[in-house]
Amino acid sequence: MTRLALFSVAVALAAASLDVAIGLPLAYLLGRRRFPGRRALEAILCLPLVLPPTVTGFALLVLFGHRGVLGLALDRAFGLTVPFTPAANVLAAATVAFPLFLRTARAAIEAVPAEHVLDARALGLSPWRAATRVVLPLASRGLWAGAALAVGRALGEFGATLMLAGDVPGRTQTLSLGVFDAALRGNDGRAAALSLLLVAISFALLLPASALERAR
Amino acid sequence: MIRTHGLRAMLGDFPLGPIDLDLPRGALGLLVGPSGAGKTSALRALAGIIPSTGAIEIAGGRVEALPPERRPLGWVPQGGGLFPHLTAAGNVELVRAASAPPALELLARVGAAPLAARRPQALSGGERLRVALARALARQAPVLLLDEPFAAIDRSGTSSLAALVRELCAGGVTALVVSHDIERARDADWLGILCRGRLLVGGPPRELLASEAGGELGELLRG
Repeated sequence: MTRLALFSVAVALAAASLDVAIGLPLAYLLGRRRFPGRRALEAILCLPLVLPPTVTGFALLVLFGHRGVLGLALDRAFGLTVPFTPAANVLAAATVAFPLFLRTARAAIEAVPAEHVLDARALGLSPWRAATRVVLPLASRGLWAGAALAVGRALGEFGATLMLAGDVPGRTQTLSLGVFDAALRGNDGRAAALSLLLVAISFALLLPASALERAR
Repeated sequence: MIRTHGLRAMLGDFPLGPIDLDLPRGALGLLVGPSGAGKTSALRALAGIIPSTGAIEIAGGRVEALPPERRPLGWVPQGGGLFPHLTAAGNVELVRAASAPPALELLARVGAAPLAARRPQALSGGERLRVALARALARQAPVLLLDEPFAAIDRSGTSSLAALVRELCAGGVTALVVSHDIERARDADWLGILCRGRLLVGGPPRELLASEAGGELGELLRG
């Protein structure tokens, strides 16, 4: 059970890190630049929020599967196979949790008054330094809150993970998959224990996240 | 020195300019006008943070084609515009040029050394302006642009800040101050009156205020 919990937390942290790495530049772009198609871009990026996770998982399987465009490319370039590996856990969880980070981060970056950015530039800061030394620090609470939400969502990921990573005990099984597995086998005690563990970990994560959001 | 020729920018519903300005080294210029006249936009155009056309010369070099970070000027936005996530010293340090004195020394120069560790939220209006002035000096620029520096501070704070700016000018800095208050005109070497984006008059304040046009405009601005 400890191994399952550690694996789930590791997957969730890796997925959220991937979300931050990809989402932060996009959130900055969406929050501070005005360009045609901005709303449409955000809507597309946030699709995993409203799509059934099975649909997201199926799309990932089509893209990263053995015959998918990206799956083939990864296999040829690095000899990497995604489906039914821990990498699939991370990818599925990162995709589903991505909109939560993106939306929270975009809102936080957008909320930084434009005057601060103009002043930073007039004071001699380059666009890069104005972004990293003024805008991002001022948005930091929202960025942390978004990252915590992404970890929480990634931890609870089930549908897309089942499609892409499967439920391989000792390899791709996470806490949420473990609950499903135990319940399916009629092992209610184990299902309950795993559920409680998941609730405890999620609560420990979300508490600081909501505190950060309130403090904004 | 600040010199502009045919400086124009686009404001919300009316054009700004053309503005022709010629402030020699060490001069204190004052640009007055009612709110919405385009005073802040004129400063922003000089600083390069809004698009503009026309020639801008600062300390002998043409800067209109340069990005803001390469225009040699110190910037004091309205209310000080201190970054709330940094202390007073942190604000100064953020923009400090490598060749400039340490942040504490710059703060001391404006009488704000005891405020170094304080956050902007814990400073009064006058204190914020002083820190903002120290921050503007941290670029060691020959030109200072100040947007409504006297708007949020009391009378004694105003006169000590005005004296400080005067002192900097005596040291060779050229300052352009924007204000809605024509009272400050007696401190200035040059006075410009801006109304709905147009520079109505510009020249030595004594001459302008003595002339009948100046008198009327003074009434208008006071009223």
